[in-house]
Amino acid sequence: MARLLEVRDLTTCFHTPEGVVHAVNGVSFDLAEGETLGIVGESGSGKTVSMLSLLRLIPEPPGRIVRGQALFQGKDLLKLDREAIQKMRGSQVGFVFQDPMTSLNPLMRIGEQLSEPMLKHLRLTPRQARNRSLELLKLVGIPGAAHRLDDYPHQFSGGMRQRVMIAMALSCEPKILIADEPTTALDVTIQAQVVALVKDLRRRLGMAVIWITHDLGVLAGLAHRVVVMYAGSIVEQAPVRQLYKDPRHPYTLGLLGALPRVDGQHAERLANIAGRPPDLLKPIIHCPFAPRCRFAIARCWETNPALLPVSDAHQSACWVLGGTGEPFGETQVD
Amino acid sequence: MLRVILSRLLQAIPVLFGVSLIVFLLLRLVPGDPVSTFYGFDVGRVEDLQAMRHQLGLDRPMLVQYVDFLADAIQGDMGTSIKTRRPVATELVRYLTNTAQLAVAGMIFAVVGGILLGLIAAARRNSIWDNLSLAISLAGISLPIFWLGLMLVWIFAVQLSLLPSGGRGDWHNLILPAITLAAPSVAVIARVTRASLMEVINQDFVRTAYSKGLSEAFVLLRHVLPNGLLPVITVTGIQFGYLLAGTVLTETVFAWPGLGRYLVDAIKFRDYPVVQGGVLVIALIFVTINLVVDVLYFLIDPRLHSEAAK
Repeated sequence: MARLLEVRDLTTCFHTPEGVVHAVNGVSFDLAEGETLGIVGESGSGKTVSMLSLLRLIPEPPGRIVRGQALFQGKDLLKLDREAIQKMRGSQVGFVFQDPMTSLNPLMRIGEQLSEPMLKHLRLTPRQARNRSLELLKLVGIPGAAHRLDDYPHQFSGGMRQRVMIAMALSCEPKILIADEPTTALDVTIQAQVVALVKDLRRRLGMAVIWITHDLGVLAGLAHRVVVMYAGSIVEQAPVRQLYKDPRHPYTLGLLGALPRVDGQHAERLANIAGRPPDLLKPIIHCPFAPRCRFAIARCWETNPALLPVSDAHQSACWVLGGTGEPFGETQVD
Repeated sequence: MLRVILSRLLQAIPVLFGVSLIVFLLLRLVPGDPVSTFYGFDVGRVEDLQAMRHQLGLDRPMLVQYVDFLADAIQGDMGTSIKTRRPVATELVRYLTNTAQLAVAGMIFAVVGGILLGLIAAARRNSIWDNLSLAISLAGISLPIFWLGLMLVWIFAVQLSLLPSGGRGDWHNLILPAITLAAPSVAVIARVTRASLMEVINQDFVRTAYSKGLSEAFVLLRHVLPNGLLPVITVTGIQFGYLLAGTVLTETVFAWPGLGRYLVDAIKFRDYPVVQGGVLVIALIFVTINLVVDVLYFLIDPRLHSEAAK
């Protein structure tokens, strides 16, 4: 598979009255054409901020992309001028956000909101855009689509709104769909429907998908590869099977332990990870997970491990369980 | 929507009734009446005063006077001015037309200027533009209307000879008084717009709009502004009241023959029918503005439609 997106050393911070929050600290990963990449981590681990940073959608100020590269089809997204990055948003990369209840403009008809990116990027006439909006609503499975174009968001249920969001993100047939916890705010049955819908659309439209979640379970049947983030850094990345079978980071182990199982092997309480994620206001020199880690050794408190290869496609940033060898992604950075 | 309008109109009836009663009583609580003001210090013979009071019907019981006034007012008859002997209704219409010109021009300045300043401040918060907008707003709120009016006259009429210093004429005569009148409202509307828009700017759907590749100007005008407009409309309605109050000073500074000046003169003279009629008309304008505000809410926010349908 050809490489579509290449992110290197992405670093984003926020200047707040309390100090500088180091939200994303040197994140590097690749995305191949048609691939589905899962990004997993708890709240505040930098999943969303790193994805928003790619398209420079974080508010600046207070946010600032300190350094890094995001090569998309040979162009560095982080260095494009304002007009060029606007042309990327929506047309090459589509976004679906977490909360469908608040992510649509409450005062605007659905049809008009759907049309906006197509009017801008595809230069369709309003009539063409409306016709295509209708097709899109049918594509994402909105019942009675023809009668819903002139409805307002509040007339839709949560699941239906998320379908509208997906239709909107896909309207210009982007190369990448970034879905930021798209099912978190939905009922469990609706969650399954939305996951199935995205899988189906990916197959039909052939785009790459980045699926952000804090739920490793969702990714099992969806993602090809998984990136695990903790405290603004990638701590492990691996093909999905390998990650489940052979996790090489204590944090990943913890996430897997917190997952309920359907086969009833664990009748006891679900395991949780003791402690809290670190305060990102302070620079951390040691391994950020060390304070919560039951494997931690003296070395973990001295230097933060880099992301090192365990095997071909599997890297982990852990002195104890992790890999050895050349650090991932470092050779490409100037 | 029709139901909303209808219910608001029904609510207006007790308001107008109350206003009429309060004005009526207040006027009669204030020392002096039209007759004593007419004679002034040169107090005439007691018989003359009594005769004049009798002629004007002021010697009747208060309740009879009130009911009489109300009955006439409901039929559109505001009585006759004690001072000019002309029908109050005709006079009010004439002065009100002048004031309406001034108020509408002032309101346009206030709304356009206020929203523009607020929008710039919200979009570029903590920048030089934000601070400039704050400075203009502070000045607008703090400067007394009469002082601002005189300063504008001094600069634009006396020094630069660009605009007339006062009086009625074509639209040139309207500019300075309208700006003077609008200044405090510009300030308030700008601050409310800024606060309201800053809240909207951080909402999820704005991020969605940016994620679609829309330009900042488009997002601000098409997505942010409409969603931040409800509080702005509310204060604009209230500001219209302040603006009407401000007409008294503005009309005095710019020799503008409007309702404000006319009413102040009428109060000085204790011209009961004129004051009663004038205040009632202003109350009616207020009620109408509030109705317009409610209808605007309805037009802007589709969510209110389904609530009303429930």
